[in-house]
Amino acid sequence: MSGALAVPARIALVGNPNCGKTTLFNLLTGANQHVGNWPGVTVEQRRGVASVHGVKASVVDLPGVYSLLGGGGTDQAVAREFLLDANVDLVLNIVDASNLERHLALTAELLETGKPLVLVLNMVDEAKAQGLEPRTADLSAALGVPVVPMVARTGRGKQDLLNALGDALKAPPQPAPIRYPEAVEDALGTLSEALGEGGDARRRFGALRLLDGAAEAPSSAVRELLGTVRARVAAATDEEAADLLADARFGWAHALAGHAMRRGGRVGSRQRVTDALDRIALHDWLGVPLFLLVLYLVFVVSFSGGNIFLDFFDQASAALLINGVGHALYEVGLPAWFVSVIAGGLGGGLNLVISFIPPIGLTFLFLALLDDSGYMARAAYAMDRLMRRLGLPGNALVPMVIGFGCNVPAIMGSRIVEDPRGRMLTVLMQPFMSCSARLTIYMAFAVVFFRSDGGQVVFLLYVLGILVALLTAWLLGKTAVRGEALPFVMELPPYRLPSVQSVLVQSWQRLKVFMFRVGRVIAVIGLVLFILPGIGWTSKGLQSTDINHSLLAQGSRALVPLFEPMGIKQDNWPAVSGLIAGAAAKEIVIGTLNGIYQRQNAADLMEAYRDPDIGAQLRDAAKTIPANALTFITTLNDPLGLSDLGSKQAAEVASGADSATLKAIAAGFTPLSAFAYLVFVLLYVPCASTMGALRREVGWGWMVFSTLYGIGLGWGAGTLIYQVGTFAQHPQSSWMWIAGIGVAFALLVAGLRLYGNRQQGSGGSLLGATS
Amino acid sequence: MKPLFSLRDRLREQGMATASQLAAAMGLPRATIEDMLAYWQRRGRVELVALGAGDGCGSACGGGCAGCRVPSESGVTVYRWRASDRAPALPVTFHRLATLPR
Repeated sequence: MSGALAVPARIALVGNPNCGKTTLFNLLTGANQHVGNWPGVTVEQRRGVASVHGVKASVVDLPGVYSLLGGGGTDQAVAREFLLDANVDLVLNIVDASNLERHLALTAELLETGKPLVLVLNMVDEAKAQGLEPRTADLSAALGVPVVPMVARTGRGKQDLLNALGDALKAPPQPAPIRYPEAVEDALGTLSEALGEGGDARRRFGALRLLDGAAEAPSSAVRELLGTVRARVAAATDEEAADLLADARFGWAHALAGHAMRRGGRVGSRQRVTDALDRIALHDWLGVPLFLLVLYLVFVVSFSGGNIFLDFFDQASAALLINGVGHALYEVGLPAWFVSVIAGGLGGGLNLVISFIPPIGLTFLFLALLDDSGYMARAAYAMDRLMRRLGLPGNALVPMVIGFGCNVPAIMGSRIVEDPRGRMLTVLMQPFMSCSARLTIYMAFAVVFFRSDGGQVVFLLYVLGILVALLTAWLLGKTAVRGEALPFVMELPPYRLPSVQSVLVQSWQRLKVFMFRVGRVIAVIGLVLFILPGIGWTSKGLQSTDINHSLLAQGSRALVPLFEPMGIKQDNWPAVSGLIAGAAAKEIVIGTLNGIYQRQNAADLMEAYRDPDIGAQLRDAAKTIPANALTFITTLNDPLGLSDLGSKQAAEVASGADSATLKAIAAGFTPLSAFAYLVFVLLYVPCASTMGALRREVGWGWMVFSTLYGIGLGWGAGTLIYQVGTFAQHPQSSWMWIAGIGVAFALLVAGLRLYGNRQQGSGGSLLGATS
Repeated sequence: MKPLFSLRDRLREQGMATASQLAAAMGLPRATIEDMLAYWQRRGRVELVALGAGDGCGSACGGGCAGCRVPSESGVTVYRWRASDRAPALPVTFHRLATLPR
C-alpha cells in the first residue's frame, strides 16, 4: 500500500479519535493528499507526502482507535495490521496533553509493536488552561522516544516536529515496552514461541491479544497452551492474566502522566488542594474523626460566638417586648390580666426565641458553609464507609445529608431505598437525629447550665443522637430485621469556595423557619398556657385556682415520680408538662416551660410593668456585648473550653440570661439533671409529624415500636446518666436502677431476637409484618 | 500501585458507587476511573445503574425543597459490582444536599 508513492520513509499517524490527528496530518502534508479506501474494507484511507528536511516521506493517517488489541472492529484491524507491517519506518503517536493518562493507554500498546516512535503532545494550550504544565524532557526520558509539544490547530511546534522526525528517521529511537508482572511475561514468552509466524514484535503482539482474550487461538494446540499458561498465571498471582495486563497498562499510564504533567497555576493548585483535602476528608480512618472535629468546632464556635450577643438580644428584647409592651398596656389602663397575657405570655415567648437567634443563627451559618463548600457530602461518604467497615449500616447519614434539619423529610427520603429491610432501618434511625427544633431546647439549657462550654454539650448531644441511631439500626439488623446493609451513593460535588450569597440565603431560610415557625409555636403555647384559667381539683370540686394548683400541675405532679430517677424534683412539675406537650413538637417543650414559668412569675412581672426604666435596661443590654466579647477573647487560648471539661460543679449554675424562663429553669434543675433531661428530649418521640411520616412508611406496628423504644431508651439513658452522676449519694438505689435498666435492655434484645426468628421461620415479609 | 485492582476491591467492598465517589476516594482523575470501570464492564464484572434525577431529590425534600439541586438532566450513574448478587436494585442516593428543615 505504501509502495505506490515510491518514497523511502513511511510514517504512520496513530491516535485516539478527536486527538487532532487529521489536523496534524493536514499540517504535515498540505495539499499533497490522496483519499481512498483501505484494501478490501470501506474504511477511509488518507495518505499524503510530507517534506522532512527536504526528504520526502509518505504519511498515512490511520483510523482513530482507542486500542489495538481488540473490541474495535474493522478500523482497529486495519490500524493493527498496518502497524505490524514491516514496511512502517516510524510511528507518529498523537496524544491529547489535556487528557494524557487516557491517551497513553494506546501509546502503551504502540510500544509493543517495536516500531520506532515519536510522540506528539498535542493541545498543550488546553492542558495549560487546566493548570497542567508538560514536562516534555521527563516524558521523553521515561519513554525513550522524542516528545514534541504542539498545538496542531495553530501549527505551533511544527518545526520542532519536523526536526524530531528528521532525527528519528536517521537514527530510529527504540522505545522500551511496558514490563508486565513476571508471571505474565513468562506466559507471553511461552505463547510467542508457540505462534511460530512473523517477527518478534508480531508474535509478542499476537501473544498479548491471546492472553487478553481479544483474539481466538489459531490452532487447538495453541488453545490448549493458552489454557495452561492462563492457569499458571492465575495460580501464581490470584488474578486473571487479562486483568493483570490491563492493570499494568493503567498503572503505567497513571504513573507516567503524573510524572509528565506538573500541576501548576491557579487551576492546577486548585486540583492539588482538592486532592489533598480528599486524601484526609475521605481517609478510611481519619475521615470520621475529622468530621467530628469539624462538627465540634461548629457548635463550640457558634455557641461561644453567639454568647457575645446572646445577653444583648435577651435583655433588649425583654426590655422592649415584655416591660415596654407591658408598661404601655398598663398605662393605657387595660386590665392586669390582659397586660399579663400579652406582655408575659406573648412577649415572654418572643423574648425567648429572640435570645437564641445569635447561637442558632451562627450554627446554621456554619452548617451552610460546610454544605456549600462540598465538605458535607464527603463527611457523609466517609461516615458511610467507616460504618460499613465496622459492620454498621451507614444510612444514618441520610438526615445528616439533609442538613440536620428535620426528621420528616429524612424519613420520606428513605422511600428511594427499594428493599424493605433497608428502608425500615433507615426510617427507624431518623428520630434520633437532632433536628433544629431540638437545637432550641439544647441552647436554652446550655445557656443556663453550661454557659462556658455549651457548645461541647450541644456537640455531645448531636453525636449521641448519631450513635443511638447507629446502635438502633445495628441492633434491629442483628435481631428483628436481619439482612445485608445497603450502599450509599451520591455524586460528590467539587470543593469550592462557598458563595457568600448562597450561604447567607441558606442560613437565613433556616433561621427564618426557626424564628417564625418555631417562634410562633412557642409564643402561641405561651399564650394558651397563660390564658387557660387555672382550674384545679380542690376539696370543693373543680375550682378556679392559681397555676400551681391547676389540673395541669396536678396531672404533671402525678407523673413526676416516673421522672424522679432522672433527677426531676416534685416541684419541677413544669418540666414534665413540657415533655408531655413536647410529644406533639419539640419546640413546644420550651414553649410550655416558658408559659408556665412566666405565669408563675406573673405577679412579679406586674411590678415591673408599672415603672420600668427601659432606657437603662437597653443600656445595660448594650453593655453586655463588650463584656461578653472580652470573655470570648480572653478564652481564645482555650477555644474548646477543654480546661472546663470535667470540672463542672453544681455551684457553677450561673446564667447571665435575664429571662424569667431561663431563671426558672436554673432553679428547677442541676447541671446533671438538666443534661439527663436533654438526653431524654433527644431520644423520646421527636414530634407528631415524624411519627405520622413513620407510620406512613413502615406501618402502625413499627410506629408504635419506635415510639415506645424511643421513650424507653430516653428514660433509660436519662436515668443512667443521673444515677451514675449521683452514685456516691445513694449507691444502693443507683445500683438497682442501673441493673434494672440493664435487665430491661437485655429483655428488649431477647424479644427482638425472638421476633426475628419467628419472622425468618414463617418466611413472612417485612412489609407484611408492618402493614 | 495497582489501580485497576484497587478500584475493583473498593467497588466490590461497597457494592456500588458513583464515578465521582471512586475518583475522590482513590485520588485518580474521573476519566481514568471511567475507563477502568468500562474495562470491568467489558469483562462483565460491573454493571451500570442509571438513577432518575427526580427520584431521590423529590422524595428527600418532600417536594418543596429549594436546597435540592440536580447536577445534570440525566441523573446519577451508579456502578454496581456484579459479583455481589445480594445488592439491592436501588441504593440510597442523594444528588445534592438538601438543607431545609420542615
